[in-house]
Amino acid sequence: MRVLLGMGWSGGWRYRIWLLFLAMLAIPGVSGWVEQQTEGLSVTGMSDAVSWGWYIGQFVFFVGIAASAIILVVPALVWAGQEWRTVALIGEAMAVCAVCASLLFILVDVGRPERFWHGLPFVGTPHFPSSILSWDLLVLLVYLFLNAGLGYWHLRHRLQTRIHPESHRLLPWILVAVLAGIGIHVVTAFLLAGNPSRPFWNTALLAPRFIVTALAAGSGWMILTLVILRHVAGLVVADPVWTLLARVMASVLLINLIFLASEFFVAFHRPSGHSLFMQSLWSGQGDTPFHGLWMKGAWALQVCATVGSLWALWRGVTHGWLVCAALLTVAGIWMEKGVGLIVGGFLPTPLGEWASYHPTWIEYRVTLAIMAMVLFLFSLLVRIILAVEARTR
Amino acid sequence: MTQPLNRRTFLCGATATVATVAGAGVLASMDSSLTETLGDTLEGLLQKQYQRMTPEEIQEALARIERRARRRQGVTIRCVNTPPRNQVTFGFALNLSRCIGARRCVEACFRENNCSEHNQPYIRVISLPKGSWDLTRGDHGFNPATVPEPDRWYLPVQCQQCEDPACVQACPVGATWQEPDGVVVIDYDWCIGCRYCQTACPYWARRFNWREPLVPAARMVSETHYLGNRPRMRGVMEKCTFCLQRTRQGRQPACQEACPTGARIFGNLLDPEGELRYVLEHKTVYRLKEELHTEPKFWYFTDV
Ligand code: SF4
Ligand code: SF4
Repeated sequence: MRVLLGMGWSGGWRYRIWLLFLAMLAIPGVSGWVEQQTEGLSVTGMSDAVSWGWYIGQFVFFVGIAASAIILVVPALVWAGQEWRTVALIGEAMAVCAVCASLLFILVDVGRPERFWHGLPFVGTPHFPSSILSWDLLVLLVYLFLNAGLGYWHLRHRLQTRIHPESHRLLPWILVAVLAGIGIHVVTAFLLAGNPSRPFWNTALLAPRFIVTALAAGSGWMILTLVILRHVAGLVVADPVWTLLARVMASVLLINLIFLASEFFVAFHRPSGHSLFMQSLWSGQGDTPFHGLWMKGAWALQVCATVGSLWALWRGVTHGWLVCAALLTVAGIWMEKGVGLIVGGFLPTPLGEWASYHPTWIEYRVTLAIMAMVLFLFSLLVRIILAVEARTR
Repeated sequence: MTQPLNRRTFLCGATATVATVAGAGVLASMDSSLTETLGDTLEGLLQKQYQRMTPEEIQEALARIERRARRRQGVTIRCVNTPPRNQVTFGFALNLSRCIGARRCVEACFRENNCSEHNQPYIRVISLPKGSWDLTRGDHGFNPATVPEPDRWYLPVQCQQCEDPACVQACPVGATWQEPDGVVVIDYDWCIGCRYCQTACPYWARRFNWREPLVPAARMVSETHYLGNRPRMRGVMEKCTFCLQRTRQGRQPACQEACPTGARIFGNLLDPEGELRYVLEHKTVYRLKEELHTEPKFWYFTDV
């Protein structure tokens, strides 16, 4: 453990400045959180009407990234060639970091974080099996430990024996991890879809659509990460990796378009409670920045991303196009599945009122801080992975 | 096994000793109210969920609530935990023909329950155009010179004390539950403030304390109940409890008492002779969003 940690901290001055920069980025957010704790959540833009906002939006998005990081790359450890090994480890690191991010977003969203132990078994009164939120926390924690454990064991094995663990020893763990990956995202979808009080979320399409958009955003995110790591850390990524990621991204984006189209059909063919929010985007009701342009933009980006990734595939996976498509995918899905979807579910209220929600600077600062902290952790983990690779090559 | 005392362990030990002595000194030099505050804070932090507390622990919690009110708001209150009565399940019926949109219930409820100035009231009266049941056409902030307006009708909504409450199912820590008399309550000291119950409730009945509650001492109602109108804190959920601080002692809820037209009928659903049962049996009654199957114990009816 100590050897591994030492590897994380060592690096050139550029790496150190990067870490320092991330730490600095977290400071305004930490102070914002302290303010939120002393004043109350009134310093955010949330209200009884829109009682979840920016934080829970990020939570949902990062659960998706966490789930897809594993579903995408870890099976490759067993079935694909040597060139996937490092990528798979980076995927593990990404999953761990994304789960940390989503847990932190929950932590900053609750009104009484010092009472978190009320949800723990034995000392508290966790509400099993009724509460979907209890389930969600459980699967997220299991997933976190599973991935952290798997990654740690893999690295240690590599360091001690200089080879990757054999496939058959990894297989059972990987199957469990993939199932848990699907699990965390499905449960998160059920958290929203299971509320008849919120017709906009109350659709059986939500969970499948979550999986599909997670895979799309996850492969986009992976592509961007690998491109950046290639430039800053000289990571060598073999061609099959790019091709597979591009193919996965393009095909899930196509499925996503079908889902999106059927959402539109149901919403606009014969309007119902489920369509109120989507219609409000055109009728001018409601007063949040997430009405109108934000959601329409998110959908437009997803369409462009689909076209772009197909184009990139057709052009033979050139990096320029791939990066463009990945950027569009991540942005479009982040905008929709993050805060857009959350706020949309709350409007109008169950009593038919259109309320407003404007996130405050505190929310942005805290969000930035969480992202910076998680990137910090990710940088350490990637550093360790690359150092182990370098030492055992 | 003894180890030679090295510099590091020595320093650690020394620091710990100094810190302990200093801490004890500070504690001893505090006046009694401060140590009491500290004790209350610590005990409050470690307090168990209401249903898991022993009778003694509940008494201590009640005493803490009274002390805190004196300290923070400068008011003397009495906080009790009157249990539900046997053979009682509370229910409500509301005569829409009589409701004139005066919103006296809203005001009375707000006062009786020591609601914070920062919060919205528990009861919401929606003004709807005659002939429409479409809630999105409702006016929540209506403020005409006189009520009722000829072309509107009024729909008061509050917690429906559901028999299969979506809010209770949602809560991840069991901080909200249904009492044997049918009232859905919240342990304000156990709620973690996640607001999932607020998301799950189809009647928009729950109110969150987005900031430290503000209740002017002058209007603090001093007869309080642990599960009812006692002072709340920042970051927790609250809602209508059918005024259980009153109704468990045989009184009527504040909204019922305040209604100038007698539109509200409150009572024990298990009492076959009661007015509530008469209404349920002889009028055409209906429940709001019955199709969501939360089984409200709150009915609406009209005279015709
Ligand atoms: S009306 Fe809402 S808050 Fe009240 S019991 Fe029903 S679900 Fe719970
Ligand atoms: S806000 Fe409080 S009562 Fe509501 S679900 Fe969360 S912990 Fe339970």
